[in-house]
Amino acid sequence: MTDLPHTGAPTNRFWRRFRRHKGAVIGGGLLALILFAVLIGPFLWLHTSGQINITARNLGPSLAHPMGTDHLGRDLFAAILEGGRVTVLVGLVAMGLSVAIGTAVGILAGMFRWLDAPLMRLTDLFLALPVLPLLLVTIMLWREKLRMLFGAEAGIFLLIVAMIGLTSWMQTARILRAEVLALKNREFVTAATALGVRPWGLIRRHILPNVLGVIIVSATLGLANAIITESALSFLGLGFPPDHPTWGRLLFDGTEYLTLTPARAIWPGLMITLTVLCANYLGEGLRDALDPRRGFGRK
Amino acid sequence: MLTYCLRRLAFSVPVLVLISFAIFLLMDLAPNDPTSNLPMSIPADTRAQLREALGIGDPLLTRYLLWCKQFFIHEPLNWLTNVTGLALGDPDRLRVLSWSARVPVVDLIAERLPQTLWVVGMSYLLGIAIALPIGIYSAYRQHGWFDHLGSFISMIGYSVPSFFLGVVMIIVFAVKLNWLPSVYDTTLRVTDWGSLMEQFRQMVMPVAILALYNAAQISRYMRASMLDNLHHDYVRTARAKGASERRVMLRHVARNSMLPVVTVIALGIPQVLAGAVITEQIFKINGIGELLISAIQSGDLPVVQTLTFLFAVLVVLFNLFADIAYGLLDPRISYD
Amino acid sequence: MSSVFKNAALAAMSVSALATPTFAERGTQGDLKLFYWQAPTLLNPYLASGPKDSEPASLVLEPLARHDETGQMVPWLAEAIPTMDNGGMAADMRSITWRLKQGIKWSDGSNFTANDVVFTANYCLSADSGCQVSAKFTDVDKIEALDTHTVKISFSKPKPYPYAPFVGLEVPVLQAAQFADCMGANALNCSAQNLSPIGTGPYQITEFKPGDVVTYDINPFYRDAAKPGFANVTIKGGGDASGAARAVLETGEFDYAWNLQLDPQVLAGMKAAGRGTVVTDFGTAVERLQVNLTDPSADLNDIRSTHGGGAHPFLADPRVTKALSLAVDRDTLVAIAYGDTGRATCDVLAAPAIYASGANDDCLTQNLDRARALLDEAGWTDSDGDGIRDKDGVSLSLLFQTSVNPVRQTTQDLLKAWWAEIGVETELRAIAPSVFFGGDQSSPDTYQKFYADLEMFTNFFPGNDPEPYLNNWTCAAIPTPENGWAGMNVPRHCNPDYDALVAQLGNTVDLGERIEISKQLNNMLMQAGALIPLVHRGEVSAHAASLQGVRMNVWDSELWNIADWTRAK
Repeated sequence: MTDLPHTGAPTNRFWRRFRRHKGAVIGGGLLALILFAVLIGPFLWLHTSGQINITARNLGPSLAHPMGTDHLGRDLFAAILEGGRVTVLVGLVAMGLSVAIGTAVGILAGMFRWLDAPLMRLTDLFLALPVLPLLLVTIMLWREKLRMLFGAEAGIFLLIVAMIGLTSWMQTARILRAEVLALKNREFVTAATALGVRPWGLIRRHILPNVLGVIIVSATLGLANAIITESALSFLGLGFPPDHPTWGRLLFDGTEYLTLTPARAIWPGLMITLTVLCANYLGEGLRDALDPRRGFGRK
Repeated sequence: MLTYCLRRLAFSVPVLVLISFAIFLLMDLAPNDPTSNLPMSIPADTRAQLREALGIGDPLLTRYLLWCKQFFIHEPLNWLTNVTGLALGDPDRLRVLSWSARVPVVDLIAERLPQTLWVVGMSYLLGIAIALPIGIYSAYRQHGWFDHLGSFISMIGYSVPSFFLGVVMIIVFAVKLNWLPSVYDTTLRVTDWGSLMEQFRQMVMPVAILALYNAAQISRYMRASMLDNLHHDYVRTARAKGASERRVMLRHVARNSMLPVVTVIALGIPQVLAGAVITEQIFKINGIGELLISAIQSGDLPVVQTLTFLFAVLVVLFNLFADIAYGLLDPRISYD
Repeated sequence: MSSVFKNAALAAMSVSALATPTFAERGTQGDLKLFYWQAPTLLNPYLASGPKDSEPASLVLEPLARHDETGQMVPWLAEAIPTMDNGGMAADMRSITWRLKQGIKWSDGSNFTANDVVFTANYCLSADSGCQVSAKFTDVDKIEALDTHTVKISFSKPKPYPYAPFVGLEVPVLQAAQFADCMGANALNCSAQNLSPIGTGPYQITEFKPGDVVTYDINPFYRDAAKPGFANVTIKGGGDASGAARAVLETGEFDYAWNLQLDPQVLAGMKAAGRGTVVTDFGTAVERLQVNLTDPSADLNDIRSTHGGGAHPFLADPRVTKALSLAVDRDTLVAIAYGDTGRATCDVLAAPAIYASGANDDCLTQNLDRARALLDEAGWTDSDGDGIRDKDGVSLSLLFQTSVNPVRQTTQDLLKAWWAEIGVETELRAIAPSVFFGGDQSSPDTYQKFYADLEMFTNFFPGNDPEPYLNNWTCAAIPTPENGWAGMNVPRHCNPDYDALVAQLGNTVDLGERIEISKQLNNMLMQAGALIPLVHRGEVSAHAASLQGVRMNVWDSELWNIADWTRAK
């Protein structure tokens, strides 16, 4: 690691490296485009996903319905835009939660010796959880209770976001702990400690700025992971209910119509794939650009 | 080394107890009712009787301890009895029974396991077999066209959700082309060439999808590990001694690079088993993943509890294997 | 083989030769592959959780009498149906006597006797047995074997319709010898017996993997030497309805697929492949809206959705309910959501055909103008111009709940759109089936608590006697906090005249009179606006074009005549 954020020049070097990773640039651009489309799109598009039109059922693509319609004549493009908003929102919030927990655990374990062992054992414990089965069971058993407490959409949203966040922070924590341990031996940190800077000040002024890159990489990869997990749950029929479709749910509902209107399964699937692919490429590019020992920045 | 193993083993036990209790608590606090799937013409008092007969009314701790006793004492004893043929203890001991099938959960799992192991095992082996050469060659010709293609494909394999790829494959190969069956036949017995081909045909799609995912992950690790090793001094020494490029790569670099990859492979097994939940759902393979989903849907708690716990045991066990294997393979690691 | 058996077999063979002239010999038709996508998990109907278990069991276990595809009772293990005329039913209607067929053997070679019948009744009635069908033995006082082939069932009160015990697929006869150790609480632990019961039917179980597959071969002691035609049967479970339909209709991997509730256009597309036939038959199942006649508003707390909380602010007026019913275009609903598997109905008692009233059929055609006029007449107008009708500060907005199910959500969406056209606002809720139909007292979302204005689900009655079904809407059957929300009178309909007429039905023997009273009861419910029937739902299955002899039967097991099935040459 270099002490990037302190000076201007290394930042330029970072951008130069990042721009050389074509996949990451394209991925980042597309991801931004998708985010923009699902956030703004539903306001601009002519139809809403709930509009029934029994005279326009199971249509193919046309100018009025670029992705066709479903068995009630609802516009698929509108459903993709609105479903994407939920999917992306779940991905972002779950990723935020996961990164926040992972960062806190990782930095605390790295900074304070007495916290290291218990926190790392806790991390091991969470790594030993069978994530997918556990997610399925929890969501199946708890969603009605939360639905009751927080309302239909908010209840399931909170549950899924919390479950994904709580079961995916461990890698971030491990990487950050290692980074912090390495940083602690660096001269500027030992100097700061010798000057009597308190641990919290140390974290804020020296550690956090230096591990920011690692956190961003974790966040990008975490976004991809959260979107895949949510879609998998919805695909198994245990995610969002049919009245609040996400991409995973749309794909699940579409599988019954494979022979009639395959577009209903293909479009949501493509959108999930594209988003995840973009996030993964972006994450990889960022990591390579930040770490001179790896990938394209190597020579 | 031995003390290290023992210490790790000792740590696993409380972890498993904690997880099993957490699983129990999670399910106890949640609302669910195994009689909700019964037809509505069954009167309410019959339902209440049924619930009582299933022991739902007992307090949590009673049921947890009973489950522990049945799972950790009775089931192993039964297994011993079956294997050795000796009558050990009371033959009528209580076992963990499924609510919907009224058979010991362990028997249900034993019936479902072969299908899952066949598909998952095959795909994992295939994935490894594909991933290692790709990883090695990609690293050897870093930035070459093969490397770029390899990373692109592995990125795709990593990012395309298996449930989407599975659905597309069914559209293409089962519905449109009608080449492959869409339903996995668990009664098929391989007796001759024809049935072997049949078995092969029905395994193609699920194995291909799981193998792609596994290969994508493992090849990335293999490539990274190779790159770490390539620039070490011993590589230069070996080349200087006049060893052939092939020999340098395979005997020296690949061998040393395998170390971290072996751990990754071992750690991946439980995740792959759990991930088969989705694949089994798509291709209608009646394996343990399908058992878990149907048990969740019908509120069959004993099956859900046992299966979830089984997955936890697998994760802990393979973590342990990976740690020990790492120590055995790499003499530089000390455990004291 | 005893001479008695030979004679019986010969007699049966000659009968069957008349019925199906193409019939060859036992076991000459090869293998039969059935697809039950909801996989059977155990094969003892007394502990089963529905037709997915009891239908596969019906190949093995048989009752004393079955219903044929027209709903008529046919003697099966009994010589005849006991009636007043043949002396089988006592004059005071307090007992019936079944005479069993001679020479019937279990698949292990032992004789089938009256003891088995008596044992089976005791098995279900014993405490803690977890018997699912104990309701079939309601009012049974005593069951005794008069001799080896005569069984007398005594009731604690006069029973004009005594054909619940041992009639139909849910209540077959178990072998006393096999289940002797499974009485009471032991019933649940008898896994070997519950997975592989010995029966008198055409097949015996060779292997059963719960939740996956059942395989059968021919019962060597089956009473008809010429049957069954197929030598081996496999019932495969798992997957979903569309996969099952595809396997029969498109790829031809299976011969028969059960319960294909699919989007009509999807099913039509599969039919076009020409490999198989779709068969539909209509039983008693009706998808209906339950109307909450009491006030469900949350500020009533403990007395919400009870008569203590008062009548519903607008649904208690039958004109409003009638308007909601008239606004529904049932034909379009059927075409979009049900296809061949449903037909429009305006009666909650829609079948058997002789019981269908038809007096309420004016709702079969959508009539928005009349619906609007009815609401105007009831005083509901859009006084504040927001598009929603209101009266005295109450606006006509409904909370409409049902279980999570694609067909039901489609229906919800359509109804909401139609009701919007007559100025009624609708909020939709979909609840997980395990909660909606679950008996959890602590959940507010069960169909019985009914904390909503409308809810939708299907109900039906087994067999073809509607008396217990019509009993559902008496005052005593209202779910309340006091009775633990038990009872099927979900609309909270309470009318002393109705209760009196139901009581009269319970004392009427003559079929014609019973039909008349049943129709009247149905009409009373419709006029009170307690229920809005939508769709009479049928059972749909598909079979390969080459399979012959399938007589689709909703009154009993679909596989009831599997012994007669053959393969076209």
